[in-house]
Amino acid sequence: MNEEDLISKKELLELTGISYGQLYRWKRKNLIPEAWFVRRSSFTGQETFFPKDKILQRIERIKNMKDGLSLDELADVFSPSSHVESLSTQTLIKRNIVTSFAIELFEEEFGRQETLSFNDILTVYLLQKLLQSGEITREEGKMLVTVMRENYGALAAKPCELVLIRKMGVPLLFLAESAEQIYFDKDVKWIFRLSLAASIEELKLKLNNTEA
Amino acid sequence: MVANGNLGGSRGNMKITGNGSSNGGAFQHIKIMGDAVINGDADCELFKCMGNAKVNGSLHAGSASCNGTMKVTDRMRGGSIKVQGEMKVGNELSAENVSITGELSVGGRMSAGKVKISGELHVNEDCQMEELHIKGMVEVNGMLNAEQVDIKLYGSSRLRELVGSHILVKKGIGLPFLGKFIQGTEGSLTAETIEGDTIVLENTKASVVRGRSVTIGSGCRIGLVEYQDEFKQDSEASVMQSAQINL
Repeated sequence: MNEEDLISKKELLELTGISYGQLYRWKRKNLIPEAWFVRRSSFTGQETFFPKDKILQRIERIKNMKDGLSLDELADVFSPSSHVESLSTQTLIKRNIVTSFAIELFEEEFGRQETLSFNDILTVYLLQKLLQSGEITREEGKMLVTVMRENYGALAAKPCELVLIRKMGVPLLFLAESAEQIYFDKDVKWIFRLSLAASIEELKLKLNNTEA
Repeated sequence: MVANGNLGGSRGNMKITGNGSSNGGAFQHIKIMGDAVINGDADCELFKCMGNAKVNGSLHAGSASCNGTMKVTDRMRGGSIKVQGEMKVGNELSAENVSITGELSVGGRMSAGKVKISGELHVNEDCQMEELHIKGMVEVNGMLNAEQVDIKLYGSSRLRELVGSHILVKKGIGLPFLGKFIQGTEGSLTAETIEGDTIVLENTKASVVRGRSVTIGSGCRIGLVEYQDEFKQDSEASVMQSAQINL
């Protein structure tokens, strides 16, 4: 990680207007992951730094959402695991979380499903999101569900990215646990790279909202 | 006497009077009067010990109380923990309410809701809780993060980082006259960094103190104070450098 990507604690508080008390309260509730507290030695002893973009974005989101949700509910939104174990396909469609179209495509690959686990809900959610935005085709959608089904279990609770590239019209879809920098030759076109953590947050908000 | 529980089946009670051992398991109540060793993980709703208890494994108890000494070699999880005497946890400790008269030492991390201790607290790694009230000494080889910290110092306490919202460190009541001349009778706290919203300190040695409102009382030796709203310093305190910052 480059020096420029870090922000010191003092700068962070200055920029966001939060207090030490808030920062540490959010850390206790796991709203801010332990791994983001980067300790470096400085002239006053040790200083704490944070990955700038991630922490600023996270604090903005906490500030926006904290009025509506309790800290514990927020912690659940940001955590990679979920308390929602599984939901029936009917409920998912009825609650407008995913469309029946996305579920049908999913079922074409894996057969009829009565209930979906959280990982499968996430898969269908991603599928729908990407189909709607026109970034993937139906065929690539099928690749997506296979990739997610086969590999996401092993990656569960880890930050990872979903990446689609095409070369000469041939799609290649993969899950990357850490893809800070990847370089391809010039014929390769990046279609999208999507942080799963952000999608999980969106999905959880949807699941929680409609529950309330 | 040997008592074993069966995991997954109906929960019985374990009762050991005198000397005994068990291989652990799931119970409703575990009651020990005397001396007992549990070899293996144990899970129970109520754990009660008068005397000595040792769990060679982990312990999960809805509530645990002990008069005497208690040792858990692996991690311990509990709703409420009440100890008069000594308690040692080899690995992580997590609990809702903890109340200790005597000594608590934790080999790993500690996380708790409300903690009240008269005596000593030793934590080998980071420690987080909502409320901490200590009368005595505290030693944390990591960060102590709590919404509210209230320490009354007896003996010499040591922390790496002390952070939270409200931090209050007061000296214990030493010998009325002699305390002034004999060092160490009032208790002291040494920390690298102290950060919080409201900070009130006495008898504290720290390199950096940062907060919204900072009060440095008698007996303190602080390297750098950074404050936002308010800074008060006792005449018997030494502060090398202080600066107001605009957060």
